[in-house]
Amino acid sequence: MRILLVDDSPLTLACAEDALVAAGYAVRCASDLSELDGLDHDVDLVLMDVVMPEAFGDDVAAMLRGARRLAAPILLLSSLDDDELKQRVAEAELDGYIPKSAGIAGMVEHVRAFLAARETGR
Amino acid sequence: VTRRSIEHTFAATAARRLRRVRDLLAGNAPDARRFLGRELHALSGEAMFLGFTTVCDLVRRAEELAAAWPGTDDAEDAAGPALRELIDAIAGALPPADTADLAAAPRAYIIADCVAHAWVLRDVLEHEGVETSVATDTERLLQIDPAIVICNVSTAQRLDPIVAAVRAMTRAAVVLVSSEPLESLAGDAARLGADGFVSTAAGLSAAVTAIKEHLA
Repeated sequence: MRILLVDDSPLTLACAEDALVAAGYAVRCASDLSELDGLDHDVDLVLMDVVMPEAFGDDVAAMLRGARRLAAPILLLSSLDDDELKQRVAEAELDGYIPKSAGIAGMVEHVRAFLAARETGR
Repeated sequence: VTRRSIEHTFAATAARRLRRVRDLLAGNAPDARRFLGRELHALSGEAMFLGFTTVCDLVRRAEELAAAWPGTDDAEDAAGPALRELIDAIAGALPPADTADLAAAPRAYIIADCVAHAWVLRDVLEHEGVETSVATDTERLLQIDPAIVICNVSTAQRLDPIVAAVRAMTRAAVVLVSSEPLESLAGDAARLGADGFVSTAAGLSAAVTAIKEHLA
């Protein structure tokens, strides 16, 4: 399974990548829009931070869905509160969110459960 | 990645973010409030994700205060001093960093007419492993004790007393930086007895290379 991880914090990217790779996923990382632009978007899941310097992650996600015709599910990964994340997910028609309060291990569990549920649903 | 390595990296990253926050609180940068909010939000997100709950709670409070901060150091405003206190509390709540590593990093102190103009230079220097603070004056010079002071000041009325103060306060190398061509900078450097001068007219990477040569 291939995961695209987008976050402007190098520290968050490094820790999340490390944990996801240890869990058996292939991970591509982008810390800004130019890096994201240079990556292959053929992935099974996108994890997207929300508050980034250049743009909000839900807007970037909408762009990936529209202009780039990205078919993979997109989850927001953010420290914003649950109500705001639910609203952003609904407005951008995304697939869900993972609160950063879940921590590194919690994020991996969310990803595992989400991908397993999708596999079962197919 | 071990818990200890996460703690160390988080402490170093957080210390850098807090230094930027202090620079913003002390400076007169346009958009300071927006940049302050961005640094604090990034820090709260990192603290939350990596499980530093106390730090996260304190930074969240700082984010709330920052929203009320007017963006300038207004003596009438209570948010600035309260924010500074909270920043000190956050620094005190950070996990212990590998201080030997941190102490080994060379430190630079940029004095600029406008701190926002010096941020790009600071970011490039920090990318090169030089811990860099930005200020409009010499107020925090003794506290930081840099190996090099980079003066990005445009008028002689300001430059001359700043260089004299730096010379009196530290043994740091003094380098003048400007977007002016080298010839005009050379005159100022010779007159003030500065250790060097660097023009950014030839590009930032050439300027950073020259600054690193002075550090070496």
